[in-house]
Amino acid sequence: MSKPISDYEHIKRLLIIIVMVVAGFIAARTMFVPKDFGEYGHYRGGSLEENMSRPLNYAGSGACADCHENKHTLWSKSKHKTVNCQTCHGALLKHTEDPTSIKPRKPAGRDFCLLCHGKNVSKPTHFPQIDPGSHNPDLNCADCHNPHEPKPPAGDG
Amino acid sequence: MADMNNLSRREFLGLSLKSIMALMALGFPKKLLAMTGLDGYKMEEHLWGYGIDVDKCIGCGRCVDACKVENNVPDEPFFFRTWVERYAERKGEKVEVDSPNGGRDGFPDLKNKKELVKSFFVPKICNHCEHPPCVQVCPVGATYKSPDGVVLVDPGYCIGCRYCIQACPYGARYLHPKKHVADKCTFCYQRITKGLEPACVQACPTKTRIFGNLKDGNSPINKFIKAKKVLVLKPDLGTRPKIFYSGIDKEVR
Repeated sequence: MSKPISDYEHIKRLLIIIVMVVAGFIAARTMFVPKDFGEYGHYRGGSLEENMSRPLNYAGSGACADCHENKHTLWSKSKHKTVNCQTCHGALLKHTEDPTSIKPRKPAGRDFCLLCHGKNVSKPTHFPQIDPGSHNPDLNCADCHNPHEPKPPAGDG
Repeated sequence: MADMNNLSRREFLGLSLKSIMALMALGFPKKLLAMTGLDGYKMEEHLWGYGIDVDKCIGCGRCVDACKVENNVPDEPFFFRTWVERYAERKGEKVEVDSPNGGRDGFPDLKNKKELVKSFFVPKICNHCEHPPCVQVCPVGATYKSPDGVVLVDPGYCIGCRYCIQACPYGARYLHPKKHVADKCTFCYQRITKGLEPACVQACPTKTRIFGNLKDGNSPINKFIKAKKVLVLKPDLGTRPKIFYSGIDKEVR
């Protein structure tokens, strides 16, 4: 039977194992945890910049006025002035960078207008609504109403 | 100091614990306090907040459409970063809530109007909570509250475990069917950090949706909060939402 090892030897061996485990943990952590993790909190700091730099599809609300001055002036005094250009004409950031790349959408017919102006009991009562079944069902809205300057057609008061 | 060759069990365990703690302290990550400067945008000067004036909503769904287009949200009718609900309260305290395609195609008029007490539209969106349960449960630190108060997802870090989707009391998250990571409203972080409005706010034709910097006294959101009596959804949960509703009914959750 070999000589029993001393208490000191016990601690020394245990300490070596502990140091190795902790060193292994730190090494693995350095390797696998990104450098920017914990920069601001318990997440990757670089993720903020990634979220900031995602591509945009809609231009800012002032972008159209530079080229489409006449339409913009008409619209900005009308009852539709709270309706953004791109709400009807689609996402147009690409169009502001290169006008030939994509063309603005031009909603035709009645369905698009009725999204807002179709009669619906759940809408606020003061909001202008029509019953599409009885309100000139064979005509397009734009036949009588200019969407950039909506008002009752001449003669209707 | 005890004799190293004659340690009691207590002394031995104590010494081991102290050694481990000393080593852990050396490797502990430093917290950096500087929060400035990503392309001139100063995070510490902003705290984003959002208002919804329910009395103005006409349920046209332009916000839902704009959100999907701006953020490339999948077209399927069950993935939304924002959506519009229709509440219909009928006699006998019966409440119906529906949201066909999230309200993106508008709402057909209600059929049975005889028993109707009232009906209105409620736009819904991530509440960007001050104490977000989704962040608390994320096991990997892939979702977080930014220094300017926006709850964001790190898609490169998300493991798609769906725990955050379960934890959100407002149902504001979904699992992206192709990327297999959690996705949600970011207040259009790509836009607001460049001085633009979120797509839904810009698209709203009736100014139902209001957005701005809570740290700026003259911002649209602060004007809205001052002018209106506002509420938040599920205040009893202590999540402290930053979506402020005006004109909602007791039935709205």
